[in-house]
Amino acid sequence: MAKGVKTYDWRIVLWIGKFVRPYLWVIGILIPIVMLSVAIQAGLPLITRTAIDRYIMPTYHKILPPPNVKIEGLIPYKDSVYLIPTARIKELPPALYRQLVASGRLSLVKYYYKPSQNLLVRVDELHKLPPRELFSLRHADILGLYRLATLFVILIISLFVTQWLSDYTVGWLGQKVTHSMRMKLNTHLMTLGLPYFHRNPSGRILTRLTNDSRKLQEIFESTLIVLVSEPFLFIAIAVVMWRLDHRLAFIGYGLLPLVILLSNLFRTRFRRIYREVRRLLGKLNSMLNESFMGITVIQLFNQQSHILDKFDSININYFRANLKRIVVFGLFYPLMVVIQYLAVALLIFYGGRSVLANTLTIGVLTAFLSYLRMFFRPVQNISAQFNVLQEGLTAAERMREIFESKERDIDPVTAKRIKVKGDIEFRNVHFAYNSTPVLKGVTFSIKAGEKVALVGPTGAGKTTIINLLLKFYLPKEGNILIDGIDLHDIERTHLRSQIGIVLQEPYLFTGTLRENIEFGHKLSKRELDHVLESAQLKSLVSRLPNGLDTLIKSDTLSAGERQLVSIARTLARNPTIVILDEATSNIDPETEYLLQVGIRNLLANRTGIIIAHRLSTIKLVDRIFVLWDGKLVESGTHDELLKRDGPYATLYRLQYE
Amino acid sequence: MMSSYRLFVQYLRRYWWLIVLGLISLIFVDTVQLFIPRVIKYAIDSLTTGEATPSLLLKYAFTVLILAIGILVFRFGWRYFIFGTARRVERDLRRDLFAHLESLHLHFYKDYRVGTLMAHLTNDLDAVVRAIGIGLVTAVDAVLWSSFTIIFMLLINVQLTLYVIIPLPLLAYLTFYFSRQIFMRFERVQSSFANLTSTVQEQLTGIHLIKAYNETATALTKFKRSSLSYVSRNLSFIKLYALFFPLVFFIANISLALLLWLGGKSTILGTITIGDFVAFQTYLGMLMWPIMGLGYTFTVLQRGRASWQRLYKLFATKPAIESPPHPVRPKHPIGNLALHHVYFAYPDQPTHYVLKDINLEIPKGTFLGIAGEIGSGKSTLTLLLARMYDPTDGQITLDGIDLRELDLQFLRHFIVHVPQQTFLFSTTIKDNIAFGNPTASDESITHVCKLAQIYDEIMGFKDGLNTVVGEKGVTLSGGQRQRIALARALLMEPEILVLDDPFSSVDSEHEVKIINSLCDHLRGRTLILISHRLNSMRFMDKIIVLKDGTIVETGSFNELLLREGVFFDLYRKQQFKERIWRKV
Repeated sequence: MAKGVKTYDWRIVLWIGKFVRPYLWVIGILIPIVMLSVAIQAGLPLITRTAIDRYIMPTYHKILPPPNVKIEGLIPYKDSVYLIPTARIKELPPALYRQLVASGRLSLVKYYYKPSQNLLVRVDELHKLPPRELFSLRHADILGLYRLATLFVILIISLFVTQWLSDYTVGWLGQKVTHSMRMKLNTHLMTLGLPYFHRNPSGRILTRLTNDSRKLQEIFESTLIVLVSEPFLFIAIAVVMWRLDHRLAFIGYGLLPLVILLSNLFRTRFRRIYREVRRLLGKLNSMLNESFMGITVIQLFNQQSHILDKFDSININYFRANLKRIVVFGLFYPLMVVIQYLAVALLIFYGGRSVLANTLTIGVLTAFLSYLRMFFRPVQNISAQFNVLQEGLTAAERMREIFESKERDIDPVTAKRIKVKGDIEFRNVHFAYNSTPVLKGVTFSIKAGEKVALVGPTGAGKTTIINLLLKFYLPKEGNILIDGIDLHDIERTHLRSQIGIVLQEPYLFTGTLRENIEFGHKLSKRELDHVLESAQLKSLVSRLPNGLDTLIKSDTLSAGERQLVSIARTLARNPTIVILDEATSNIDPETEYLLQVGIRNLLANRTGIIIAHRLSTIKLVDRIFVLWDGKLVESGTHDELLKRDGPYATLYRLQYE
Repeated sequence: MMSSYRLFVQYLRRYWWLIVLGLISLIFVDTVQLFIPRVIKYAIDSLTTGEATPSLLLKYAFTVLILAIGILVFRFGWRYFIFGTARRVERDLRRDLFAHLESLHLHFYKDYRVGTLMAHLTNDLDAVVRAIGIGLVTAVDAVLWSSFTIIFMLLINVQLTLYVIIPLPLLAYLTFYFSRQIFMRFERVQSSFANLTSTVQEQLTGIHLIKAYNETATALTKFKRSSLSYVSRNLSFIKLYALFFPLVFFIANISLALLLWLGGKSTILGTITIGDFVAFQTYLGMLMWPIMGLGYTFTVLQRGRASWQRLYKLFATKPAIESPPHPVRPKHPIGNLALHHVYFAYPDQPTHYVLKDINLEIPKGTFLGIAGEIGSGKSTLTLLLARMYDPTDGQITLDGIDLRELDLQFLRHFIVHVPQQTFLFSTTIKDNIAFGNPTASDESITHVCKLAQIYDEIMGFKDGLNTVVGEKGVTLSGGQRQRIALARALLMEPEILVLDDPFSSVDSEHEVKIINSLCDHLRGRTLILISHRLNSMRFMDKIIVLKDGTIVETGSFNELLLREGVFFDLYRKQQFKERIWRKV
């Protein structure tokens, strides 16, 4: 059975174990509860056996012990005739048993015996008695049966409570453990630098924190309890069966390899089919999604039937995979039932013969009917959980990989927290993502309070300059200095707290407008008011249904308005340096005007670096840096650059004249 | 449109013989299973009465085995037939729904969000399939089997049967109650999982900002809140779920306790035999699942019905734009478009006219520019030309024939419209370009790529035209996407090409080049262009200017500038707005 778990899996199990450790006390409580529940489950059929053998159908045989043989535990009846309970006949040595039967010293006729009256009645004549007489004869048995039934009720109540407790406890444990794992994982993730996020598709990281943690949760919810209780239950039943009757126990033991073989055989098939079904369902859904998103194009290009054909071919494959699943499941479970009934058939034959030979009581036979049915179930259950376990461990392995990445976004302890004035200097800065050079020796300096526009085509290196300034990436060569101090020696979080950034596609989080402006940085009413005023957001706020507490969704605000919110967010932090990546999209004239004012307010008394797209913004800055292919090719004011008649001037004319 | 019930039956009727086979197998299994406890009873009774002989026991054992093999065959049969039918219906429904949705007009997709439609086609379909499979099975199993079993028990002893089945209705009710509650709580778990997912998604999309603002702590707090709410909903689910099975077993065990007590007493007093007692025990064990099924089925059927109603609502939505019953397919179309007194209002705002009394002739070969501010009705006008909507009043004709009388396929081959929102499929660039014309030759694909000024960039990718677009492949810039969309339209070789602001993300240098080559290429055919860069309008023969849904100016580029009217104003405003170049 252990074949399903590879050696490397144990490392992951140990890793998961680290997260379970704080809850070891829970497991300490859980195990006795599970043990109790297992014991009760294994014990219940014994009650039926006792009921039958002791109260419902207690039978005795007359025995005349030979003078030279001593047999223990016989009940004296009359003269030299003794009685022996049927259940004890099998304890007689076989040779003695044969001799006793052959010499007629042991009668095979079954009797009912009432010790208090020393009364012996043949079993088949018992029911010929008048009901009233029978009732008084067997009154003690009925009382005994009542006591047993009461015990049964107590046991099933305990079973109910223990099962409930243990099921809830493992579920609770799973939630606690996966929550702490998610938190730990995300905390680690947050310490990683931007290069990590640029290299890894966000979809993959997302899956680690969501779907994978959920798969792991399933291990706790369904697998753990099975792995803890089922082996015990299995062993308990095996032992009880052995104690009850060796020969009949072998029916179960003998069929066991068959059950294990079949379970293992089907388990790999289940897994394959399950994956196939999942894969096709994913394909089906992504095609659905894409077709709905692109419905306009599909209709405009008349491709409905073509797309339908493609969709239907996946649909049919999905159906086939499902049908295959039905076939495999449809074979497996009935096959297991057949094995169970095979056990019953063997029990009837061998067990029945033993009863005939008086070496087995009906009660034990009945108990075996239950035990043989229960015996294979743990094997099936454990086997069924192996796939869940595998999936969960694979998911855990993937989660663990994130912990292994060491691209930390932190500085050495020597880095200082300095209060920035706002002088910025780039000295021969080189930078490359992977092997593609993006900056090829950029040198410039910006004085505190100065405003500079970065101009250049996509890929010229504008965004990279910003990323380097924020210490998201480190230069490959050259130095960046702020207030004359090398960026290496400046602590990054403190640095970032003094730089404000307005992105081209302002990102708004789900939440109220207020939360989006404050963004973790609580503002007093007066501060907030000032920010709204400066960012020209007052009119927008008054237009929104709930003002500042309006929930912002993806389509609540226009691009221009989002940029205003982003400006407010930056103003709220009162940074020394401002980075502005201007929006390129079309903005209606009114918002455009507000934006211009907002930008002016944002830049006032601050060092500003603007990736500009609008002439009006360009006219606002002190100097323009023209970037081309990773180099700074020109710089100066708008008028200077026009006068110089360089690339800036050429293209300006081409565009506007 | 037939009723929702009849449509459902129609889907099932296709596979009536499978259903019949399935039900027969099911009844067979149930009957066979009923006899096994009886065989066991005879065996045990024969042992107590002493009638038993080894050969009789062998006979009983063999009977059990043969019955078991019967169960194997027929149980497989019903699973295969009934669950197979459910899957077949699922397959058909999914295909038909998809085909139907594809035929629905654009406006429908404004009412329904993609996520909602996805949910219909996955969750609702799932619920319907479950209802068919489980519904059919339990109809027989729960009702037939449990009543058979109870009859068999009654035959053994009426009084005892009545006693031991007392807990069973409670079992059915509890399953009914719990399954509903568990479903409900599970859905709440699902929604908080979705919430957790979107929290993480947001965090990952905004990671740049979070880092720049040092707000990792805020992000973590937010994440913790989502994670904890997911945990607490899970716990509320687990609380119930962990209770359910132990409770069910407990109640089933109460039946066994009653049997032990009362059945044992009856056996002692000789009212029933030991075999009966054992058979009762087996029957009770067998009754548990169908009775639980009965409770569960209510929930499944209820959900299936609600889901079916939602799917039916989709089916019942008729496409607003269709080919007429007797469509016209002109043999020698020329391509003269004309709009006569066209009015248009979107269905959700029937009183707000987006277009008002538009009269316009677009003879074959015209290069027409449409200018106007955002919201003036430009895009709507072009959508009407491609019959994505029909005019609310007035008519649009092609060579004198109303668009509504034309074959839709013909029309959309003749007029190709490139919408403002660029959409590319996540397949190769080549497949995207050949989307409307899958049999196009490589040469013609290369040709249109060159026309759209995208060829060199595509060749710059490692896999060239076979580069995969989107998450699994290369992320294209907005401008690249727009040019690929243009190439896709050009490959259709339409007589009338409608471009709705196709270069908004392309830089102006490229735009000029593209329009130049387009104009050469399309000479003799009709081009209708919306562009926010009014400079592009220089290349158009005729420009109409829209304002609040009416045509306010018509003329050539120079005429309009000289007129110093709306167009002139827009042009001046743009000079102010126009972003400076991207390239130095």
